Amino acid sequence: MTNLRDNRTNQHVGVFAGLRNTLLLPSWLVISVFALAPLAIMLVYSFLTKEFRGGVIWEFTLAAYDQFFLDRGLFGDESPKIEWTYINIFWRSVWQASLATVICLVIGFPTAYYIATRPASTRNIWLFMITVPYWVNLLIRTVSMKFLIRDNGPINEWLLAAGMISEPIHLINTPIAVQLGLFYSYLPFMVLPLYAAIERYNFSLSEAAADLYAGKWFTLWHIIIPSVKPGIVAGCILVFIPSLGAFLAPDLLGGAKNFMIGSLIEEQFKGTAGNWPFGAAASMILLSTVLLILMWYSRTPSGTKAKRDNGS
Amino acid sequence: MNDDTAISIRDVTKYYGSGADAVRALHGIDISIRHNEFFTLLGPSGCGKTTLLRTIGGFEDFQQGEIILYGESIKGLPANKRPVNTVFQHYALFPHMTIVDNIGFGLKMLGKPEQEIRRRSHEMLELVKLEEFAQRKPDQLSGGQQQRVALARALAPAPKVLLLDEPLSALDLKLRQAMRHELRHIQEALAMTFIFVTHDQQEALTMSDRIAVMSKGELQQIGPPEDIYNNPSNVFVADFIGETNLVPVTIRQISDGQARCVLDGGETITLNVAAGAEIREGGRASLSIRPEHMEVCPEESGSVQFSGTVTERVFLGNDAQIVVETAGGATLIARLQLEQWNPADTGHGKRVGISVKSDFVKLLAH
Amino acid sequence: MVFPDSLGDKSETGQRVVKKSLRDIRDYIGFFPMTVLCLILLYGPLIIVMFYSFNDSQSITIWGGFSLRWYEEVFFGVESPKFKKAAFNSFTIALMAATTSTVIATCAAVAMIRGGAFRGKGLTFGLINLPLMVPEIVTAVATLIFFSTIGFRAGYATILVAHIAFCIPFAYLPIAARLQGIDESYEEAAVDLYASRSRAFFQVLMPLMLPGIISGFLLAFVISLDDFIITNFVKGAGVETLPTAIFGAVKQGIKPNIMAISTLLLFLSIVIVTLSYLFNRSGSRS
Repeated sequence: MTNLRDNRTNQHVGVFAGLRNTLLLPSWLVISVFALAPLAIMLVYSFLTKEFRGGVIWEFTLAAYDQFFLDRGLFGDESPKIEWTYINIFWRSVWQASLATVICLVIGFPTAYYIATRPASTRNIWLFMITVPYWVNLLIRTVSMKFLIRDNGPINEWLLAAGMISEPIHLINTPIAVQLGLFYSYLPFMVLPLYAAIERYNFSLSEAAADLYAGKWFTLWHIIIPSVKPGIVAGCILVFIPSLGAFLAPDLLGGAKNFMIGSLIEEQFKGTAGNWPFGAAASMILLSTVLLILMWYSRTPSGTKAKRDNGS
Repeated sequence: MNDDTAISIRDVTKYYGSGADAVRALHGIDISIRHNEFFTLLGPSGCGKTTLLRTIGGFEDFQQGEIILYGESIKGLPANKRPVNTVFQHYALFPHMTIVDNIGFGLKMLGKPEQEIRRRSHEMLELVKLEEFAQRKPDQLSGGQQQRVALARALAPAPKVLLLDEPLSALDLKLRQAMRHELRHIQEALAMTFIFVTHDQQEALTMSDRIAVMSKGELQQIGPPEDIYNNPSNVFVADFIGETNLVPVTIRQISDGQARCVLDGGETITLNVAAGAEIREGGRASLSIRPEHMEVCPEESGSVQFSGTVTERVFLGNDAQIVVETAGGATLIARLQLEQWNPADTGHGKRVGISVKSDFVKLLAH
Repeated sequence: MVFPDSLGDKSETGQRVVKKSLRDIRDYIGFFPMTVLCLILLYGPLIIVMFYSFNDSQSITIWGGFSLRWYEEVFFGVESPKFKKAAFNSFTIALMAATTSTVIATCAAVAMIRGGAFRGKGLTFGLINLPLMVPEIVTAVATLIFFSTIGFRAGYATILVAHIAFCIPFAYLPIAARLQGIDESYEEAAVDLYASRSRAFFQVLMPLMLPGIISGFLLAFVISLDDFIITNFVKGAGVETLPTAIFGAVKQGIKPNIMAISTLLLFLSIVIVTLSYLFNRSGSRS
């Protein structure tokens, strides 16, 4: 099947089909040069030698990955042991992101379901209310959360004034604070795809189940949830991926003790203490994890469908 | 080429896809459409009729063949360079423009002066009787009115040929019937060539000068409506146009324009063979008999006879329909006029004889 | 999965429960409270910050009466030149980045949705959406390294270029969704009526796509305006946008003027999302 033949047998002469390549050129160019090429250069950087004032020496080395996974002692002459510091940070990120995903799902599913079952007139208002926070600056939302849960923030002040606690609950700079920030940040990302899936659910299936003597909660578990699973998977991915690479929540709410991989990466590029190859390597590890998840997703039935709808 | 030919479609062939997956959309289509003709492309969905219309309009390419419009090939010419206009199935009226702007769009694109555009647009509005709606937007009009705007818009630039892609399919039955007459009147008044696509045989029969019946990307028959109905050239056309009974037979012998056919039940019938019918000795063919040409039990000579048992009888108002199972295993549907309609003789389980004048029995190739 | 209130209705009389389930088989007990909880979680922190931004007291959490003094400080206080400069950068960058990415995304959407099947279509779709799939911090790192490698001095221009690339998929999605809903016969009718391709686009297809284009533009505008992570990496010394300026200030503690700025930005977001919502609705009606 040659190129020429392909062109001759196109389905029809779409009015703008002849301009296709011209119209795609700007996006190909901009994204290739300013998004794809940088990723390739980053990959190269992760194999370069670090330069002490921030930057690199163009010498190939595996030092950055070595540093991430292996401990060779203070002077680098001991036999390699597994270096747990960064693996723990990575593991903490995965764990926090997973927990945020579960919490978002537990809160988001009933919300999405409730909205999807409202009459059309009020449904849009509910949906609008979920959409607004999605558009509000993430930094402002994280700062708001920080303000709220500080030791001398409003929640502690009110609880103290009400006599329910005798000293402030210390949340800030704990893993709990990071978790609060994460699921709060990405909750709308869960509700919106879930809503889209539940809205398309055919409720006569629920009626058929009830007609055949199924209990309501049985119907929820065995009929509704399997039917809207593509939406659940999409929502989980939309929450998990940004949570995994989050920077603001761990930085503003977690402090130095609750580093996630996003904060680790950021640290390598700030000031003179940074290690660019190491930051690039950590970015590659994060990126690979995300791409593996997305590849798994595109093989699931829901992912295949999404691809078909948009791609071809 | 004849001088009064408007469009000549020559051996047009089109495939979708390529290689082994290629699907044939049009296969060697040859049609000549005359000037001022109301020409209909008729066929079931997927038969290629819309594809053929779109190749004339310039919206589809084709791999082989030629389309000649008044002596000039239009193959490869973009749609906006072809002096033909289209009435789209769902009208495609521009929703953000008023009715008068919609109608004037083509003339504006042709760079006509403002004054001429205004005059011509109002002429067209008058033609379709929508003068008072000039400043409305399309979504403020009913389906029938939108249909007329679409017609006016396509007529305004005075195309050499007007293409109509199932323009009546979105209307309800009453309106559809009224529009058939109106369309025909407009076509006659303007003396313009119309190429009309439909899957509705009623529509095709009532409106057209000539009909081309298509199936599976191939042309089945071209001719005036009466000809198509009375002398279908094959089983597909007979079955698709109107109702018919198809009785499978084996051709025993052909001589002097006559064929001796054996029914599956063993009876033998001798029939005239129409010129050009693709039947041969020993081959299979079908008899096509219209239900209204069947009569119950008259003792007429020279007619084809069947006998069988009535399995169903349906009262239809001014006539009735009976289903007869013949001894040979064929199922025949006969329509009986009221005077013939004798409930006692044609009830369920009754044995009846059926006769048809041999002129009304068509021997058709598969 | 846990639905805490699932057993709560047992305390009601049996009859009422039966009536309720008859009335709507779709309702689940406990889902409404969860929805309320969800909204409280989403809005609570924002409303409290908004509330305290009107607090007269210097001490942040003690209510000292209603006042606009912090807003006054935002506009005329000691730090106001810094924030005004940052706001100017933010808005000009957002405007240019959103405009450019919307134009690029509109072209791409027409090619992708109207270009028929072509080789590399899936790849192109992946490319357009690349910035959505890569974690933002990784995009930020990669962009910083890229500019540093080609020796491009970090500053206003680097922020703008990074934002354009990052905003393309956000603009693309609503535009493509809108275009998918427009029947191809509109542009066919236009060229059938002798319009050139550019007139068919600008006089017929683009007006029909407009609600999607506006949505895409507004989304890209907000994404650019809100972006902190990428900006923080590529801004270089001396150039600040509102988010980086706010972040810098918050590092020294949350002062009331930050809450006032936050409230202003919150309202801006609400205005923009409302606009987008209204445009989309007017679009889907026709």
